[in-house]
Amino acid sequence: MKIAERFRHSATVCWMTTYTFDPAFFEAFLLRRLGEPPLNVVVLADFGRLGHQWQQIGDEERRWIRRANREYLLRGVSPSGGAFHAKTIMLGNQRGGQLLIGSGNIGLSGIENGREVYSAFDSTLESDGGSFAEWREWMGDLVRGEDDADLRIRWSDLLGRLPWLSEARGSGPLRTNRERPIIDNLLDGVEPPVDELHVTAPFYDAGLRALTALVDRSGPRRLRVYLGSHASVDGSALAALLGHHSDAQALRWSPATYVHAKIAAVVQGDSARVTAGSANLSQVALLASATTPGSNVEANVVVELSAADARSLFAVPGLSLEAVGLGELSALSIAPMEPAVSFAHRLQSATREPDGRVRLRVDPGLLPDGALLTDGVRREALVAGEVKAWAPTEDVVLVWLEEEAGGVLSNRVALEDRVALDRMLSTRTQEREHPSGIEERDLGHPLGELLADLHRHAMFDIDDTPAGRRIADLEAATDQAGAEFWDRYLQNELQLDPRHAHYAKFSRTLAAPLESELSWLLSQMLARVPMHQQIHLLSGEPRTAAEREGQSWTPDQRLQVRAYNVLQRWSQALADPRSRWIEDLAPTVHYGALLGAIREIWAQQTWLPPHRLPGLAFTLFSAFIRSERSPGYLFSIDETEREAGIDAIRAEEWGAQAAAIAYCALRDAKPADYFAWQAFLVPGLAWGLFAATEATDAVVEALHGAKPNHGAVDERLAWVASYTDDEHWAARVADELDLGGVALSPIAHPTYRYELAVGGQLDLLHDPRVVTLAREALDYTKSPGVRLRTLAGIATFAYGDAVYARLADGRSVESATALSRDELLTREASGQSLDAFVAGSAEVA
Amino acid sequence: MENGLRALEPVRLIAGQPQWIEPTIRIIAGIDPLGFQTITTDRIIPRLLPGVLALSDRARYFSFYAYLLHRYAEQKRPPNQAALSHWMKSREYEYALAVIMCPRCQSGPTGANNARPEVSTQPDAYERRESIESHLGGYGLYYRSPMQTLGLIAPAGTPTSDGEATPVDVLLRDAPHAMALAAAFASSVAATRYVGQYIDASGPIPADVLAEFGDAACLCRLGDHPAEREAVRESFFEASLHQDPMGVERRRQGFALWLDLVDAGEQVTNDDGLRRAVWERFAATSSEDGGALRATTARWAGLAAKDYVQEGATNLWAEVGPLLQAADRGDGLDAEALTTVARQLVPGEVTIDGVTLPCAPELATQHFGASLVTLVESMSLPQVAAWARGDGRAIAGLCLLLAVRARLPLPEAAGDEWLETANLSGQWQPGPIAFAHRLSLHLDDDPALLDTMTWLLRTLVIRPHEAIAYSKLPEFTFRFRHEGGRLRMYPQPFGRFTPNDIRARAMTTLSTDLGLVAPEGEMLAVTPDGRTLVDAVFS
Repeated sequence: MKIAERFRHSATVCWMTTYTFDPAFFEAFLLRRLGEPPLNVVVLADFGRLGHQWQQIGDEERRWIRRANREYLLRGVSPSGGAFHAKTIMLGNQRGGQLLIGSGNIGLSGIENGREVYSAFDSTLESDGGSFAEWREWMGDLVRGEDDADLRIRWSDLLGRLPWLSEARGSGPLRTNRERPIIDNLLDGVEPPVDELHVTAPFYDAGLRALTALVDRSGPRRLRVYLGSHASVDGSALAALLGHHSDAQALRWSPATYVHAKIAAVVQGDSARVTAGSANLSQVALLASATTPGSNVEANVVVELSAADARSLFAVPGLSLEAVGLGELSALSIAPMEPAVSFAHRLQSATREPDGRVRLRVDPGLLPDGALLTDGVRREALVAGEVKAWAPTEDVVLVWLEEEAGGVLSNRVALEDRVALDRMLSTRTQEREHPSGIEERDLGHPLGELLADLHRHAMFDIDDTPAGRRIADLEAATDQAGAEFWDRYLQNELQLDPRHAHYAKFSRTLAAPLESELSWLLSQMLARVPMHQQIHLLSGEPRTAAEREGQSWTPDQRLQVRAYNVLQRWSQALADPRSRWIEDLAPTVHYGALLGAIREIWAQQTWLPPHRLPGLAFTLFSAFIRSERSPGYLFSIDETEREAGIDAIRAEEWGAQAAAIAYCALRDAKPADYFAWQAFLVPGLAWGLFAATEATDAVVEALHGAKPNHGAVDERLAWVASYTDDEHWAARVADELDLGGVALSPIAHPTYRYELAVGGQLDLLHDPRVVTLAREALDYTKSPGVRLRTLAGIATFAYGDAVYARLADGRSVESATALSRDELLTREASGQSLDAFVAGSAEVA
Repeated sequence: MENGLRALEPVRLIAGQPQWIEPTIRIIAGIDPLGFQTITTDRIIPRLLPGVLALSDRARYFSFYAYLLHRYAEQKRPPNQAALSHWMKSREYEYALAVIMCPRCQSGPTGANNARPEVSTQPDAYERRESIESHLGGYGLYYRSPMQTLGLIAPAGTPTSDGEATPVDVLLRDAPHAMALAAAFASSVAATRYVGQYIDASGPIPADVLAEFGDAACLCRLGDHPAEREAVRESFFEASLHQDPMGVERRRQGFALWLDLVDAGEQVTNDDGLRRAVWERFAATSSEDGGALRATTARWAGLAAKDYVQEGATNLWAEVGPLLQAADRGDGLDAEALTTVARQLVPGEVTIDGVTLPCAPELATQHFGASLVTLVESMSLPQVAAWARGDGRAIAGLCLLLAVRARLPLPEAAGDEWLETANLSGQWQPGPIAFAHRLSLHLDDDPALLDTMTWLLRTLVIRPHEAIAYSKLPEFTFRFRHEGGRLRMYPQPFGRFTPNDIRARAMTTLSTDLGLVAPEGEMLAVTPDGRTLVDAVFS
């Protein structure tokens, strides 16, 4: 098998895992065999080993490393705390891919010169699908386990580029130790004693625990241990183990050759089960699952072969085998470990952003005062965990953290160049930088910058996420999957969007206040009173008109239109049920962010035309709560979740901001507008979503110029919420009481000044709704009395007078006592109907 | 032996069955391990002598191939390169037979390896076959590119006036030189039976037919056909529509310089002699002398200087390599190892021209260099280079490099023509001026000889070799490579590598074919036609 030949121009994805990594060889040979961008290349190497390598590397070697973290992402990882030891290579494109699992690290010796074994899988073969599925799950777990937005976006990109990978199902020969030890995978269902056990590996644990476990659990009648030169094994212990077995033998390859392959085969009769891959014959590799702290991460294959094929695997091409006497084994010993270098901080990545800042991922993140980032020449102070400016470079630069006095605080990493890396993915960069609808040139204005800032932090519009767009494209291109699949796929993809990390810790306890990074940022934003000619981005950075001296603070008309459209779209998306796929309370956070954005924009006076701002606020509230015609977010979720959202808003005191915006929006509103607002204003007031406080006053002043008392704000909102006219009152009552129709009209009578005409069948005497209708009418009209006209007859209600009814058949009834408001309320509350008023009274003429 | 262990016959693999990996890379020695030769081949020679390759050295092939291309087009044969290749190689083989049968010369035509054994059997007739395997034969390997440079052909893919591309190599019909070449060769061989009856046929060709063709067409017989020879000369030395005027001028100057050196009795039929003669003439003149001859000499001297730098580096390479290999115990070498080995390369003394110069790792290079320059004052740079080559050690290389630096003229004093070539650096190695500049910067730090040796090893050997070897992958030419902070050695030989061909031999044969020189005893003499060319170029 020629590994390098599988690196071809047609591949658009190349993901590799390895213990050691030879970047110079990879870049000069393998990477060059791949095609032009867009290209998603990721190398995950063992964190400690990579750090050691960067530590050892000199200038002479570094000059051959030109592309790490510039054209491919190189990450050190150690998810289990032990060695990240798996050697896997995934190469593919939209049509298919290859998966290689083996013993060789990514380097000259690992895939070219070494004595290594690899297994290959082809996505177009049905029999190989299970291995791809296992790799996907394994890698997906790895990616999710790393708090690494860059890795996540590349994983998301991979899934998009390899649509077939998501379809892979079943199980195959690939066995990682993510859940179970490799030995369990090998010996599942194997009943001891087996006929033969054959093993080879370059490394054994000191107590031969792994080999002993294999022997104990398989009980081989014949045991063969194959040794390459410089095998790291306690020779005396091995001799003892073999010496205690009745048919055990050590063999070595001749001429003496270092063999790095790791293979174990149990033979029973004519068949055998073989495992090969990254796992050495050591405890941490073979006997432990990756969930065990300190264990390795390993990837092997387990295959069923004929006994002859299994034995022939130990015949290395070009080498012969010869027996080794037990006495000779004592010359073998465990190779000394390279001294491990540890640092106070693990520098996981350092990324130079397009604006020159260097963003760091450090564990633990709390650095001593005066900590610096350095490449050995330049030393830049850290401010709030990042370097404010780092000059661009064309070379790969190794950076690490230092104390001010020069003490080394961390391992070294290759500085990432965000621009260069994103260029390799090509289509992704722009998607992440600004929302669709906003153009590149708009980013030069603070309004565009504000929207881009929000877009970078949150996924307001699912359809405007890379995942949403990609899946829409895929869905359009194939008819092989149903809507349910695409929805599930989209849900998974959204979890991998780098912005998803901003929502973390949201919904662990629904009733808890919002605790995510995004909500923290929002609270910072909303705690500030918006100011004219100054805004704060979500990231906290201020922008002022003074900084734009010579440039207009007022955006041009086209930007105004584009910004309005984006805000409208984002507001409407609050009601999109898919937003909850991000996190349960994501729409609530989006609502807070949009409150903040509208507030900031409104305060600038000229950023959006004044007549558009109330409309924007209306869209925001109606999408979040409800409108006359459709339920918003809060009206489309269950009560528990709704309460959680409402509690969160109350806890964050966003009601004060909403009240200010609503107040300003309603300042010039006409009564005709009130009714539309009432759809959300009424429940919003009831739930405390609009709750004026002193903070409201300051915001209103910033938006409106005048500073009302917040009591006046409350009154105004309450008045609008309750405002009605005859037509709306009648419609509401008809709706609430489920009547066929109600019409209110004045009549010329000194007591009964209004008549209510009720449509549809209504049992005048026995339907309790008649009582409610009368009470509502008396309350609304403030008339001494009202007359109800139905198909069944008429009835009159007046305080201080008897209740009277005349039925269609000509009968009339009248109460014996005068009606009081208390009686009316009591009877209504107890569900009584008109006949209760007139019970016992005589029919009147 | 275990039962079944030798059962290595290929079997049908099941899903995921492990397999031993095989290398993709091919381990080869590589011919330019330090990246010096490419400077000559790819950067300098194309400027000094465009259209002349090391093996495009027989004038008559230019007219022969022009004739074949013209005939192919005239007969409207299939317009594709594969068909042209087969046809050309077939004709090439027949031509090779004819040339080998020529009693007057010992030429080695393209296809001689196939043709010579056939001729030795003296058959009555020769079966048809191709000259060599390579696409387009000797034409494709050696003459196609020069004929393009000379403005004689348009290779396949050349855009045409109607916006299409030529599907096959064609002789340029609007190039008078090209058509004249074809016509002249046709005229020279028109009376032969080969052309009259056999060239387009398919059966065996009688031996006497080919012998007759050889009498008219052999590589050595161009002088028998003055018109054809004149046509080839004009192609080389007369400006034309389809070639760069500067290229024509440089070619004229190159040949004229060579002829002038022949006329001066210099031994310039080999590259080393040409290099020496050019450098010594250059060193004996100054830019103030002016004129085209001085300018041409200066350009060629830049090439010679580059080759002397290369000679020095070759000594470093040849000695340090085996020492590094010996020092590697299988685990690579650490950063200090190079210095340790460099120390071994600096002996206690060095003897030049019978005089011994003290030498030590801690000795200041400036001091050593000053003594060296005084010592070799009476020697020309070519003589120093010859001594270094004969000595073979790294220290001799270091001495040569110091001498090159000392002998290079100041850039501002040497003229623009000198800079045209001496200032040319390669992708991996500096040209002579750039090298001298870097060496001067190094010397500014007042290094000891050990420092200088280490610096030279890093600058001229270690870094360039790794860079070149990386660029050659999947051909694996590494002698060493940094891996994980250590220098790992590979079992490849470190031999001396010679300077690249600078066309002394090609100019000798071409000038002879074209009647610009003629043998005169053991020497060559410039003919009147050759003198005319020299005068025309340098007057």
